[in-house]
Amino acid sequence: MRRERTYSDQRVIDFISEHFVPAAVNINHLQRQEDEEGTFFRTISWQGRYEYSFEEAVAAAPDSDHGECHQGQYVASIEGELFGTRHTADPDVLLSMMASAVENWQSRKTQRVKESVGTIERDARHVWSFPEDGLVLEVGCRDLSSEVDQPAEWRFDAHNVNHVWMTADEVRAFVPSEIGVGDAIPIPELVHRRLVRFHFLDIVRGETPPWPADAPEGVPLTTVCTAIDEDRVFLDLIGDGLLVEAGDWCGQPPRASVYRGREQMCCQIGERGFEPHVLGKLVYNRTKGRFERFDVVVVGTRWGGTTFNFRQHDVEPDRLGIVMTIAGSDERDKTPPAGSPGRYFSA
Amino acid sequence: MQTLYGTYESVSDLSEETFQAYFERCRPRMGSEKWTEIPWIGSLWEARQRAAAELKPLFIWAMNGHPFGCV
Repeated sequence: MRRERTYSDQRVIDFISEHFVPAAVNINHLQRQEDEEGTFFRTISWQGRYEYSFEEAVAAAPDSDHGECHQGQYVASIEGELFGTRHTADPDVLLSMMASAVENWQSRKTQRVKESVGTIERDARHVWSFPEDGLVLEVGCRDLSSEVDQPAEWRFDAHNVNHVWMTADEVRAFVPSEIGVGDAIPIPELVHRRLVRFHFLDIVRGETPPWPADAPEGVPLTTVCTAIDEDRVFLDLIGDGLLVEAGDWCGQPPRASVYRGREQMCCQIGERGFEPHVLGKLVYNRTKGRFERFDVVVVGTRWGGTTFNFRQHDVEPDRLGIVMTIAGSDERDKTPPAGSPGRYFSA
Repeated sequence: MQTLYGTYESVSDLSEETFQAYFERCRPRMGSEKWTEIPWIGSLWEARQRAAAELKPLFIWAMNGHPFGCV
């Protein structure tokens, strides 16, 4: 994983911290946003990807109708003047690019003095509204097998994270006003659909598309009340099921895919599946209207893969684990879930 | 269970007894990872505002999927 390999190198940490204001961004939406932020990013990335001059990129940047992938690392001024770019996981290559960029910064045409940049109205199609009074869960996902495919470099210890968002109304819908020990209650429908489609996924090595719209029917999820005290309701979340989808994910990667044209992606994965078993320990405080505990374990057998999750040489059935727990309060914990807000909340 | 890539035995050992072990093994651990020592800003526009005020260049780590989340 790039997070561990590239940005855990102490030289990289020190260099970035000393010389730059570092931004970590999701370009799935950013490179298509029809607003100042999207235009600003495209001004930078089009110099890097297409070797436009700064002036050419400024002229072209309002055009958001393109399918190219702009992943990578960029060093630029606040006007979008590019000083260096690479798309690398190699710390030495990145350090070389950054050193060159710092030299180029010395002869820059823009950002010669301190300035003030105002706020913006973002393209509403890509705006996530943080659920301030709702529930945010952090998700961890990793392989559970003792052996994974070779070469055993980053894949051996691969893991990934994601976030679950629920609105305040969805949280309150978990626990009816009248409830007794032993009662079994289906979880709110939209939450059920969201959890199964967007989070019961093999993301160990990379993000992957959600399950189809009818997939949640194959994995019913129920809460069972195990205890009640003055304020709190104790619930077990339980469920089992099967998720299977046929596909042709690696036959022809989409045009925007960074993997397009690489032979190893032409593996013709024709199916993906996951048989999840679910157990969760939940504690809901009725006075506060909040969950105090929301620990969920999902384990099961997965197989196959998609274009994006690097399973092309590891498609045989094997064990996968997913854990959800209430997120902290760092800035990172406000990172939106993978996906687009419209599809995610309508599930 | 028959799949396109072989068969497997459908069993579950997830229980009250195994719950905590699975939880600890798979729980997110991002907060303790070394790359988080870099003072990343998760929004390009906010980083642009900071860079303008500090007269520094921007370093942009651009990924499909948010680097703080699912990539």
